[in-house]
Amino acid sequence: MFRTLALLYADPLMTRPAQPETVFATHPVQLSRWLEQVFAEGGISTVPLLGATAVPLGAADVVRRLSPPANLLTDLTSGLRPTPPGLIPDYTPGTGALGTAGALPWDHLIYAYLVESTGAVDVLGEVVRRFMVGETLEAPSVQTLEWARATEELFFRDPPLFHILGATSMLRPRARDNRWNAYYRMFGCTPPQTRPDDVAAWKRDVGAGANLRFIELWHELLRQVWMGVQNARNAVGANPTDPSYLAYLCQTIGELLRLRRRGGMLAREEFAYVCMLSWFHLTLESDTSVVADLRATANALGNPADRLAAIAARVGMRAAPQSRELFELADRMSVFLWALELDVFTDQANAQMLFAQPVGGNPIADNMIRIIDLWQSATGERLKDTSVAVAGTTIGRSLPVTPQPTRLPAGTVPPRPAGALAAHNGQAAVPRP
Amino acid sequence: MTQKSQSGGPSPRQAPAPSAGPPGEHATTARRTDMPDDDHLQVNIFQPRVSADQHRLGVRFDALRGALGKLGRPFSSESALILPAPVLHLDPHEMWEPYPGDCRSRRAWLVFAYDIKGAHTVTLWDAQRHRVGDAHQFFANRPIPVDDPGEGGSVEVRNGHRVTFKVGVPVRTFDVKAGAEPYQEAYEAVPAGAYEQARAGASEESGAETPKE
Repeated sequence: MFRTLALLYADPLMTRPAQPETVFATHPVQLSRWLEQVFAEGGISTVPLLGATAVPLGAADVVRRLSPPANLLTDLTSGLRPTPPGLIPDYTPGTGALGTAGALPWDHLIYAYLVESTGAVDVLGEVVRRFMVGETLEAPSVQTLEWARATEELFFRDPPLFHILGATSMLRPRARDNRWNAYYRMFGCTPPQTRPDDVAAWKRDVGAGANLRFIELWHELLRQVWMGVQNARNAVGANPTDPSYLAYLCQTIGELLRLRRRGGMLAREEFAYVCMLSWFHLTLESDTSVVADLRATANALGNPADRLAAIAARVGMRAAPQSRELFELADRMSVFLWALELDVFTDQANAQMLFAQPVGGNPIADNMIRIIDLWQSATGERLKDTSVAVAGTTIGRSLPVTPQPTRLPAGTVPPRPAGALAAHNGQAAVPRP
Repeated sequence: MTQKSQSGGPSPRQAPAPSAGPPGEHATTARRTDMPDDDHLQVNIFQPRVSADQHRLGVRFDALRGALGKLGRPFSSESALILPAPVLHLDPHEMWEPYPGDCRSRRAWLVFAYDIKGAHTVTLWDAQRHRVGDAHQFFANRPIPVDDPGEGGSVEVRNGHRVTFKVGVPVRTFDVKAGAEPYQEAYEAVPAGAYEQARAGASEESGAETPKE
């Protein structure tokens, strides 16, 4: 959302380059209120661009029920208006703050998962900590200090009471575990970074509510799309592309994701996490004052991954080697997974658009081809090798390479989490002999 | 059988026919004699075609990408999203009217704040992906009488070839007099002129950093 705000600051029509510095110069209380207002608008559930039949976010009224009453929202607004670069955003009372007159959709949870997988939160969190506790880094400029203050206020302390970002409490005190819990439930996996004190607390009490099939189904979908791309212009001979099967895969993945959203579950968490990760993405997306102060510039056409790697080196850490792919994947997969959840590709004609390359272009197929390139590069999963069987998957058997396998990939059976089979009613688990 | 079909593949060069007239601006070749339909644009049979509905889906997908702020590198800087969103003015006293054939309608006025290059007609779609009413001629800053598509409706803009290229989600307003000025009031968009003025003022002032007060 903060990347969208950077565009809105520059121009309400979002046609000018973003102004990240203006976002960082905004007072945290205004940013906090802005997020509350944006959430109350309903996001994807009130943006009918794809004319979907499925109910987004799991329940039709989840946003309305989680938001404060309208009068409380307008009691203290963000007061943000377009601001020329270099100026500090002012507070303008009244309705009509930036981006609140119509709904602004927020990213899918996959965006947060992929950006977090780059290590950006850990690295930039360490940067903020060092700026705050000592002088192991060179003295920051006032703009960077402003950014560090806002970062700490918004994401590394308890948010204001009753705020939409408040996804931590005495019952679930560790923000990182909470985020990883959401990723695990939705995608059956967590970011690759580990810490010595990690005890996989995010898996505790998840029960059977984790989409452990997601990755297998996702790989199968990408393989089938690639098959379609390869044969899109076949005019002679057999064409193994099967749009019907593709539509079935899209339906299965959509159902899987929606299963985790029943009753509006994860709606609040998703909003909080994608907002948080978009802040860090925005920090690295251009040569901001933070990046410049940390001597990690990568010029105007540079990649956020290069900046992240340089900053990580400054604080003695390492970013994920696949950061370059992950940053771009995050943007592309976010749009596509929303479409999957909204049941857009569950009929054959629409599924055909995943690979068709007609005259005049097809943004959906272009997006998919790029996703396949990036995913293969980031994960090492050989999606394009359809002529050989790919072995060594998590389910320990070779994957089918025929147009449609006998069965859909089944994924792994959820393991019984040790020592956490059921809630303990506040008591410590009793070790069993 | 024609000369071309006998060859079984692309011939390297087409020699002029022996009986061709004197070479000139439109020298006739053997190929032109045999295949006069070459004068028309040939459809590439290897290029898959998509239906209008499929094309619309592509445009809408692109618009969602724009709505999510995915503009600029590595995406195109242009989006299929209509911004600022058009406003749909509704009269709260006018109710849905039953029509024969299970159609319902009520009058509304659609207003676009700015001109859209290449826009020719506008169509409205309801939440169930059904088209609402006929196509209307596009006008900027002028109310277009339309049928209300209801909550979850959307607006598509087509070019002169009836190809959809922009999509928007209208902002629904009640009790506002239709017209261009109420559009600004309802949408609270910053008038472009004022914004440009502020931007120009800021760039004049700030050769250096603007101090924090």
